[in-house]
Amino acid sequence: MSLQRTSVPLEVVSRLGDLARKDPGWLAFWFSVWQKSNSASRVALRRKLSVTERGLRLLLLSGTPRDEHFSKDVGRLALAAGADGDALAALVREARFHWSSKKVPGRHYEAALMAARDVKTVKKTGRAKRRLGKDL
Amino acid sequence: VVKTPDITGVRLRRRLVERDPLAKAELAEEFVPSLTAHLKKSHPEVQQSDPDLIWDAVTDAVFELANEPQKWNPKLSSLATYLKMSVEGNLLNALNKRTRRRAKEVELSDDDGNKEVGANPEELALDRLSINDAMKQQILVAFPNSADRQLLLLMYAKERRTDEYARVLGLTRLSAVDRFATVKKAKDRLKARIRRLGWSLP
Repeated sequence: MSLQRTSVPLEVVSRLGDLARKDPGWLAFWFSVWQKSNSASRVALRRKLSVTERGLRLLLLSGTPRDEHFSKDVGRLALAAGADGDALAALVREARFHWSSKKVPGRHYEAALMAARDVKTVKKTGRAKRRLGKDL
Repeated sequence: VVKTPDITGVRLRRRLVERDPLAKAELAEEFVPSLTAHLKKSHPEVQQSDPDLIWDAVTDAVFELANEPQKWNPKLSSLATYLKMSVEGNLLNALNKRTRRRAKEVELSDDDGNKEVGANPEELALDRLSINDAMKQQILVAFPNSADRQLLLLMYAKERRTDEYARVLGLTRLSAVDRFATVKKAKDRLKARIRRLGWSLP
């Protein structure tokens, strides 16, 4: 199966997006958290990820990167969607941080540690690390 | 029982079980177009009258399988067959629900007598809410915009479903989050105007 072969109609992307925004198992959920916490529009999200509309649609239909394969999953997602992998990784971590700190008061420190641990395990350039440092 | 195992489907299922993030997108990319085409062909009347039902049936089937891939047993059918059955079932459920809703609407309409045939829905709502002529006139003056009046009536009837308000505002194509935000804004604006007029909602 190839992600380049077909294109899911907008009607379904929009409906799937609505469902996925409520489910942490989908990347759309974390995009939504990031957008809400940054009051960011869809255009701002696209700009942040340096991705085309088609690429963003693919990401909205994708699952959340697994903790145990975080860097590999993010790399594959970024490659498939033509997105900036560093930005995608930073965005997911930032969204997780916002979500965990909002849902469970007092867990800021734990969430920050978790996110920092992710950075150490990701073989990325300093860009993602610097960006995450700013976010935290 | 399938004679030839659906190797591609089994691989995709395994990746979904392993929570491979790209597997969900691949499931959608691979099956949404064919499932949509299948429903459009097998239910052309629905495609004509209410294509949203088709999109919803396909979306729900794909979302459900992406989240619970174990629901498909490769020993019983191919993935394509399973999904076709799933979308058919979703569509039939939606059609049954629509039929029940319409029957209920007809029932309500019959309760109000034949005078409602061809009448303005706003007038009907006002009649149902037992608003007198003087009040109707005041509403028409205070809320010259028809959409505002319809929203007001929904609020007066204590309607809580955002979709009902969104339908009046023509927001059905917006995402749920945007729909909710826009409807809330419109309701807040009307509430403020009601307060200024010295009125109150029940």
